[in-house]
Amino acid sequence: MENRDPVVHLDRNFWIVTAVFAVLSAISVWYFGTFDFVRLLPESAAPAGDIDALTRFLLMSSGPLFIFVIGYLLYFTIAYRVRRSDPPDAIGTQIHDNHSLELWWTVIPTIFVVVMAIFSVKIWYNIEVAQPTNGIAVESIGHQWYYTFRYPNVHGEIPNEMHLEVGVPVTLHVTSSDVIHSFWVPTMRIKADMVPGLINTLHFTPLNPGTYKIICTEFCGTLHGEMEKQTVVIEDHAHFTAWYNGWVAKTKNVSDAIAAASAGAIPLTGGSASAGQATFAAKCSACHKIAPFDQKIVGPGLKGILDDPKHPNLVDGQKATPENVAAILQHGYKGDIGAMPDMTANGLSNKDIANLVEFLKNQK
Amino acid sequence: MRPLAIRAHPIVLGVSLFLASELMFFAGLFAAYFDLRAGSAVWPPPGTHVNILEGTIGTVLLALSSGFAIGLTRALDRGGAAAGRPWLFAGIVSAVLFVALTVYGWSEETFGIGSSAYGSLYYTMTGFHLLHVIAGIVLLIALFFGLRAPAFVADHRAGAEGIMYYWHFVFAVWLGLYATLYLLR
Amino acid sequence: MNPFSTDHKRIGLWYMATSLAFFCVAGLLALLIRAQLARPDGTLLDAHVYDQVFTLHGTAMIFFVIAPFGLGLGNYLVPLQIGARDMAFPRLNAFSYWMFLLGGLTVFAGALTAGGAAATGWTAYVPLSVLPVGPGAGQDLWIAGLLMASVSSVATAINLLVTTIVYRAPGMTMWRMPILTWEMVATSLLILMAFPPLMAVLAMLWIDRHLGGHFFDAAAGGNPILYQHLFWFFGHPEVYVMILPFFGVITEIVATFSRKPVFGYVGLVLSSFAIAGLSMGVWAHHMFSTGEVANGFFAGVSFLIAVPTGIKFFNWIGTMWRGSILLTTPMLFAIGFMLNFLLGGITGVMVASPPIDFHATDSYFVVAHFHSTLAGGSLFAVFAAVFFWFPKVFGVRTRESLGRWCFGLLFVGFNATFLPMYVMGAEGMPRRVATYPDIGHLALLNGIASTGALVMLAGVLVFAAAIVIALRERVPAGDNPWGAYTLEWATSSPPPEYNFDTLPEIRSERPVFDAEHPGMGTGTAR
Repeated sequence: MENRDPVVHLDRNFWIVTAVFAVLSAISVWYFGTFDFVRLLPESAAPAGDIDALTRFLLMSSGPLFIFVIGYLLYFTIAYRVRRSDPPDAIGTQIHDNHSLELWWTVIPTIFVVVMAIFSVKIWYNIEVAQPTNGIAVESIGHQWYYTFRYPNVHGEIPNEMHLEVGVPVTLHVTSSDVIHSFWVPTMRIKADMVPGLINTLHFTPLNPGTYKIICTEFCGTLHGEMEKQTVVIEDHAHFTAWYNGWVAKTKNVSDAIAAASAGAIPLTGGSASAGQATFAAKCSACHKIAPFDQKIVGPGLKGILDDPKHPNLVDGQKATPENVAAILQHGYKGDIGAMPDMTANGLSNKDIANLVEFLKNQK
Repeated sequence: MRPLAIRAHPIVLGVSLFLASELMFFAGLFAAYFDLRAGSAVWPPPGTHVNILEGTIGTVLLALSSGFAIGLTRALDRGGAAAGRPWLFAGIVSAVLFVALTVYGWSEETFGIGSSAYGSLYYTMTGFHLLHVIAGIVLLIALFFGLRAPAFVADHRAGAEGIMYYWHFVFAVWLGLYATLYLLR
Repeated sequence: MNPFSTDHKRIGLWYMATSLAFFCVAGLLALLIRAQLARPDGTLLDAHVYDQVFTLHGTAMIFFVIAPFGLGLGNYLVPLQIGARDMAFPRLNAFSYWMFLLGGLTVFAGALTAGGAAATGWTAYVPLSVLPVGPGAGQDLWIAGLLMASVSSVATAINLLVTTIVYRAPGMTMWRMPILTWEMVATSLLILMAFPPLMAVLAMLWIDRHLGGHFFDAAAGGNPILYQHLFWFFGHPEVYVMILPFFGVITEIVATFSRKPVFGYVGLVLSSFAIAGLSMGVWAHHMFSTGEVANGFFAGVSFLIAVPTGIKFFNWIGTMWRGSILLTTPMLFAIGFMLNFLLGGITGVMVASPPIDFHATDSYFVVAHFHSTLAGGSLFAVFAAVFFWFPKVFGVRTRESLGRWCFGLLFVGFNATFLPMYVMGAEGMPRRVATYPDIGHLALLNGIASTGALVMLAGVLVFAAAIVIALRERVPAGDNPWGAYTLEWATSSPPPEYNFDTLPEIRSERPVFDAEHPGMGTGTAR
């Protein structure tokens, strides 16, 4: 065991290069410590600063690590290279291991990554959990290949742009109507995958007015690359209110129409189930089956729609009564997971609707 | 315990490692089952009744078959290849009955693989298991004829051991399926 | 040449040659990607063709280049390194090879179908890969090809494990096996754990596509996130299947050309198993942005993997310390590997942090990160391995000058291609897009990246030239041209079909060194 843990003196050159690496490390810490991330990408919302701070911390810690590892690697390569004067069969110092050294370079990195993990989870808690929720709640829905947005008291989905007000915290719920998309605003440093059937939530507070890109980062089909043409507009209170009230007013007639629907409801008396069956086959069966709810084509199966304890409410949240089914047939429905055309688009008469409701009543 | 020479035989070792990978395959299916079950408010969906009696009979049949396989191994250990054949025959017959019962059970079900996520899981899990049972029957039949070989040398013996490991594994997976699909639901 | 040969050296060579052939195809696809992205709003490829190109590039590099090259190398070297005559199951071994070849051809055959090849990325996320209006037969061939590759990998893993457990030569205890053999053991265990769930999820995907299944259909009780869980339960261990063998390659090369024993042999072995074990518990760090996973747990375990990986770096540098370092071509590639992989490792720690991942995931930052590990890392080790074992496999030398040019071009080209991508990602460029707008520095950075890709092409051409010239010049190499220490260098080059006439006495992990330096003692207590 003559070669085990030999006492090897570190020569002067070793300490000189170590000092050089220490200086370079100090420079890298200074560089990353003062690096202006906004030069790469502006910050437009509250968590961006936190995330950049974490990135800065990781870069400041990694820089010295990188310099020392690469430094010794290259220094040993040069210092211990075989020279012309060396005998051809020269071998290195036959050192097999050094247990205390190995212990140190296991323990120190472990402490290092635990610190980084704690800091990461703390920031994660800040941006996911500890955000104010007293502002506005907005939804965004991913489609192939565009985003739409839903706001309180605005009927339907707003296309093209998402507007937000400076300083008002946002709770953003995202989902998808078809495949998985993602909602990324690089200037906010946050991203949420939009998964059909699931709601994913982001919290942030817009800070700097401006127009910022929304980008889909989850590959979603042929025109995936087109899904970076939409924007989020951050603006002051006056501009935001004007935009928002505009949408409330624009969709007011639709909302009113729904409210009025109960008044202008279609009379359901005298419907014929057999005529309804024929209409169903012609107009509905492309998207709906007479089968349990779960058996979807485009829309759900409609067997027992008026008598399904598992689904007491219709898609619009109303109770499953013949009148409310008729209302959906009359006005159509547009929601997160698809859309149903109204009676005009479907070419249905008042009589057809009465017949269809009668037919559906019998499908228990 | 069988002699170490057999347990450390490359064929037996290889089969054991193969069964470890098989375990991970079924673990994937079970993980899918419990993941979807945990995410559903109502489980299983209404209208998906399975026949516990059939499941129990199937369990008994596979248990018998596995037991007969132990009988075979004991007979081989005592040195009689010929003495093992009745055990093997009984094991094959119970396994064939299990296949028949499973296929009959499927034809009785009121739901299909496309009815719901539950239907997809039910048929996929029982289907892959059934494929393993059928492969096992083929192996047992091959062994049945292999036992006639005049010189039943060590490699044959290790091969028989490997088939037995596989066969007990198929039964063990069935126990998991029985508990999951019939008892816990 | 007998196509039904079951000799492990023949099969290992075919494995490696085939994966290099797939590398040429996948590399050309990468050049197409860089050509399309060289300028903003590129028009070379339409979006659907571009989607097929990046899908095939990723699928091929992962399943048919990097991973099988490692397995081919293991096939060739493990029996030689432990003094065995062949693999435990030679016919199963041949089956593995043919399944691998067939699987690769099947995936590429998608390009000949009407709808084109699979175009949903190498991850084939649902529901995109299920939609009937979306991908057609190409996606089915992709599933079939990956199933074949999985079967092949599992069979090879079983074969390697049984070989190392049962067929070690007298004196070759487990603790005297070369590090490369150890890495193959760890890799094989990972394959056994990770590939079967992949097969299960591929089967589910096929059932959803063709039998009306609802595994991943949220509207019928399924869950699209389930696919991601099962896929990444495979996918992350697969990352280590693609790096552990190459950690072994680097270890052998660094020790040989430092003229020293491996520093901290036991630590290196244990760190491999630590990496393998931890890698089973980190899969959901690919899914932070879904909002569906326990971020704290998966981030913590992911961070911890940095520790055993760091141990490997320290041990390599420890091995070089006070060595007699020969800067041969394989050693240059090994040093290049360490430089590139260290950057990939450090950026890996960054994206393991959920808040940073929320920003960086699926951007070019992540593209740069995994190319640092897989291209700058594994691929550099592939070249290192080819130059290192070429004299053993063919009995002839490659020209050192060509090897150096190859390294220089690849190193410069690699860094020119992928370093700009970190900045692209930080500036907000998403991955898998066929075009990008002319904003920020994107035009400049992409231009540099595409130029770098051409430099890499030049490096690969020099590589091909080095191989062809060596095979034509036929300068005999001798049994042990590098003065290496493990058993494969104790036999002739190329080794005879039965591998060894006689074996030297095995008293340590360096039997050849012990034989050449009888007075030195082994220096190990094992």
